[in-house]
Amino acid sequence: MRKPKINARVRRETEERLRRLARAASVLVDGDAFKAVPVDPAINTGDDYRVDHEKFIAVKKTLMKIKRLEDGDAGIITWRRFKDQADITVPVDSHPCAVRPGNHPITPAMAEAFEGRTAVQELDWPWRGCPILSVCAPIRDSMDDVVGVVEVFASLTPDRVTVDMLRY
Amino acid sequence: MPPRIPPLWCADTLVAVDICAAPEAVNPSEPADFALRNDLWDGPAGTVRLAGAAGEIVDFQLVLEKRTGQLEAVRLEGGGDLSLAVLQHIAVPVDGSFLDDPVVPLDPARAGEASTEISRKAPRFPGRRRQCFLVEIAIPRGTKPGPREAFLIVRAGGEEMRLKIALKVHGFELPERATCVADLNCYSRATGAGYQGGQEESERYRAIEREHFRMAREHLGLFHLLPYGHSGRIEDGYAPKLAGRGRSRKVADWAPFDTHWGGYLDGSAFRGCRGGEHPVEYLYLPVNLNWPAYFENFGSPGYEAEFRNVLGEMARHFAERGWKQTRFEVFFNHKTRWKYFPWDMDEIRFDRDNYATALFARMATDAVKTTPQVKFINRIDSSWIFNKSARTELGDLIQLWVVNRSSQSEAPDESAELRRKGQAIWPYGGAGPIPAPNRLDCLRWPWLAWGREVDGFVWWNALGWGNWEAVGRGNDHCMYAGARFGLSGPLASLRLKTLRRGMQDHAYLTLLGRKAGSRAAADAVVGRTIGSKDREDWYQRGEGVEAGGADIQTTSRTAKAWNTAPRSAWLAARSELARAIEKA
Repeated sequence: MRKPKINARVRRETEERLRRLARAASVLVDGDAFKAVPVDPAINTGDDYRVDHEKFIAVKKTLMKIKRLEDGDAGIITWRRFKDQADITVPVDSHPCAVRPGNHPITPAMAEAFEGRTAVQELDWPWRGCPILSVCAPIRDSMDDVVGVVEVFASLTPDRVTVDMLRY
Repeated sequence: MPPRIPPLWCADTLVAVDICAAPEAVNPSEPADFALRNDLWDGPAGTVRLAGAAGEIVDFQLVLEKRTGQLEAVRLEGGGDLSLAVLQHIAVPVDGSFLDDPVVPLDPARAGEASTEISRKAPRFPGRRRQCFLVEIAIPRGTKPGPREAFLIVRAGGEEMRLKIALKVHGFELPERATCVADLNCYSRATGAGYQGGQEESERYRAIEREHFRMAREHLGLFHLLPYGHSGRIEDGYAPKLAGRGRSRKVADWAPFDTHWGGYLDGSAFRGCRGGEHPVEYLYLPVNLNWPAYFENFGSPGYEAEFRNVLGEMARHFAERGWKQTRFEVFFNHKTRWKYFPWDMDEIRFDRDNYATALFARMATDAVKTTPQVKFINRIDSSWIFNKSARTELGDLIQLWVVNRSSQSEAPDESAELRRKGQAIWPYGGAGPIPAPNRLDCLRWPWLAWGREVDGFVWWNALGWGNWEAVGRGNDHCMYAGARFGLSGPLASLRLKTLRRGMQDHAYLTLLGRKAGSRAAADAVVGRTIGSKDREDWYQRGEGVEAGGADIQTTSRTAKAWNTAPRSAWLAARSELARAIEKA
């Protein structure tokens, strides 16, 4: 499939918007709740995977509300460290990385965020033919430790394909 | 010395003919002279013996050895109002071999040309020794009982061969509608199995999808499309457009829903379809944890308002449109492992998750209670803890229980209790593997439904996610994309054909029960032939069968007679049932 052309203005505005959303998420997602979502942190999928219902719901609702802070296309998911990889923990939207099993290699941008900094990356979503811009930011608990990463992402060709498919 | 295999021979569709094996090994589970004579084929006499009722389709395999040459023509002579269909088997790659499964319809009038074209487009592989065709003969309603004789004229390799079709028409007629639900469950788009393009909502897509629904109906099945994904994403065109939030959340535009589903709900999509023009018996609604209510409000009054308002509107709209025959399913397919939502509401593993299913079932029931003329039902897909869940309040709240076949097999008492309450149960599992010496695994499903006294069964993923090059072992792939052969709709598989046969058997069992006033007469026949004497015999109480869940598509390994009886026992059962119906 031929790569679509990316408009420089769309690219710049998308990054600015995603950075604002990532900043909000980084502040508003309750890191203490987030780190307690999986009942057994050693399990990340399969029949025995369980979550703390209340904490999961609290994080999910926060993420869904954050998406509404800005107009325009946006998707949002969260990651936690899982062994030497990162595991999707509370997604709102579909992402190029599969949620089951949700552990994937840590990208440089995710690694930065796990170190406490915000970072930007571009991703391909070949199946949907959609280049994606993504901003990763840390999730901190009340001790100020980084306990996860929030990733906010959007299509760079929103006139053709969007990542947000939950706005009914 | 093995018997010389005839240039053309016939076999029961239940038998998987090895298209590459040496002549004496066309099916290792059958005698070496199987190609010369078998239960329906008398090779020396050139006769095929069939039996069926009016309203039934009987079928067999026609096998052309490679040395015979290409099929050139085929026609039915002297059959009167019997109608003929011929379909060419196509081999697909499975476990390093090529095995027949999809079938492509041939126009008998130009069979030679069409067969050459199909062979050219089919997957290529070395070592083919024979080509199989499925021959279907439809016995029209109103056909008089008794013996019929016709001739199948087959021209191949420049020679014409004349096969006598000796058909016994039974003294009863099969109902047009299926006597239990054979649910062909699918996800997302009907184009999933290897179609290119056509994924967006469009008239072209809807036409393709309609062909899937019709094909299922033609085979006495129900095509069943879950319209949303794990995240709550709804396929374009599958739901009405909504507007507003909280108390003002409402349907803004019914057009997408009505355009997409209306033909299935008023039956017009099935016009001229064998199996009847009636509306679909069941339809999944797009209702999920994030539609019509936004999950960000879950636990708040606004969430409940959004959910109740829109479900109530749906019920009223369906009533206005007269869609009163279909059961509309409120079903939550979410699972914890898919991460989007916190509960298992499908194949629930832990008791603590049941409260979510109960909560939503109560809410849905309440939302539509003022429109009782429309059939809204709560559905659950249950496995691990079915036996426990059935004894909780869910037993009253859930009207349709889709239960892992193995989990259900250990719970005859819970199943009976649910049915006593008027709830429906469908065991679920895979469609049966392609690499098997016979297709009994497909045939058995309707028998199992009858044996266990349940209302239907589910092949959980009838289209699968594969394609022509990656079919898998077939458990989830019983229709194929027809585009490869220039067809917009799907191709049936031999397993789907076997399903139809099993469904026709189910009609025999049902008819005998109706005529005799109980299942005792059918139990006696089945006990004598297959060896399962009564309802209890179809269950596996106390066997400690493999627990069922999302990751385990179980095929029972039980030693129960229904799982071990040979093909001949099923043929005998069918014949005896026919005699018993005629006498009852």
